Amino acid sequence: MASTISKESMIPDIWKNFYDIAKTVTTVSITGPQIITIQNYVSSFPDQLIDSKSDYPILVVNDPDAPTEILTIGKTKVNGSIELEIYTTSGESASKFLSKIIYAIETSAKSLAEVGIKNIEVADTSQDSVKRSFKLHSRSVTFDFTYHYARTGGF
Amino acid sequence: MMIQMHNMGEVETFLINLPKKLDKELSKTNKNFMVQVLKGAKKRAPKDTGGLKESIKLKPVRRGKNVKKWKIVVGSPHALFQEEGFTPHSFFAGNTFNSKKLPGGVTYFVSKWTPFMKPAVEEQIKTFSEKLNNAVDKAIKGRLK
Repeated sequence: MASTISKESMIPDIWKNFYDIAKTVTTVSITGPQIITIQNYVSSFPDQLIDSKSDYPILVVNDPDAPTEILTIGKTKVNGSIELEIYTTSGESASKFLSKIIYAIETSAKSLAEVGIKNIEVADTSQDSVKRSFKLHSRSVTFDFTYHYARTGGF
Repeated sequence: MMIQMHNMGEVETFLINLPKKLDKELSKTNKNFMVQVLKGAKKRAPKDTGGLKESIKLKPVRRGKNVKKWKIVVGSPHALFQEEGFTPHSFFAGNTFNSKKLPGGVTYFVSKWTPFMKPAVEEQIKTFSEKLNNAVDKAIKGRLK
């Protein structure tokens, strides 16, 4: 169930909608067989967890970007984007989590549209792997979306 | 022989508006690329006090609404040596030495450096041309609707 968005708190409200959907992604199974469970859901990459293997996987829902344009005299259109990232110590689970995240957002498109977040598309995906004391794999997906709100009069 | 072309209005509109759409999509792709390089560099930066990592920033080359070029600036004085290497050497860390890993009042020998920028660029450059192609496709298809 998506939560309503107010003009005053548009950015955190949009973020919360995507965060609530991301929280439904909890586990994937990989070769082993092994079940990998997300340990942390955060709004930005937590530096204090970066060196502890047991704190991964970490799912990051970044703040949305919300540039606007004039739609009509009475409405403003937000051409927004939001990036979700998954950090794991297993490359196989990173790809599976990415697919699950994309699936979760795509299947929630109707409930998001009900609160005004529409035209959701995957704009970009990327991947990276970093060798620290352990190997860290990351995948990210950026969703584009639109949102309209009533303009305040005045030019 | 005379050749006449009809209904060129749509084509003319397409050609006039295409550069603007292309510009928007390519600028977006450029910025996304630089953001991913920034994140990769921050993840790879060697960590002690966190100063090097914090000094890695993304900045526009020119300020304004339609920024086309971005740069990654690394402010830490140690960055160049970590990236490019240095002659192995020893140094005495005074009692006020600012490190979370190394206690002060000791002489250390350093010989290992950790490139962080070039590996981050190399990782993202692999898919950059594909993303540029996708941006161009998106711009062209958007105009054909």
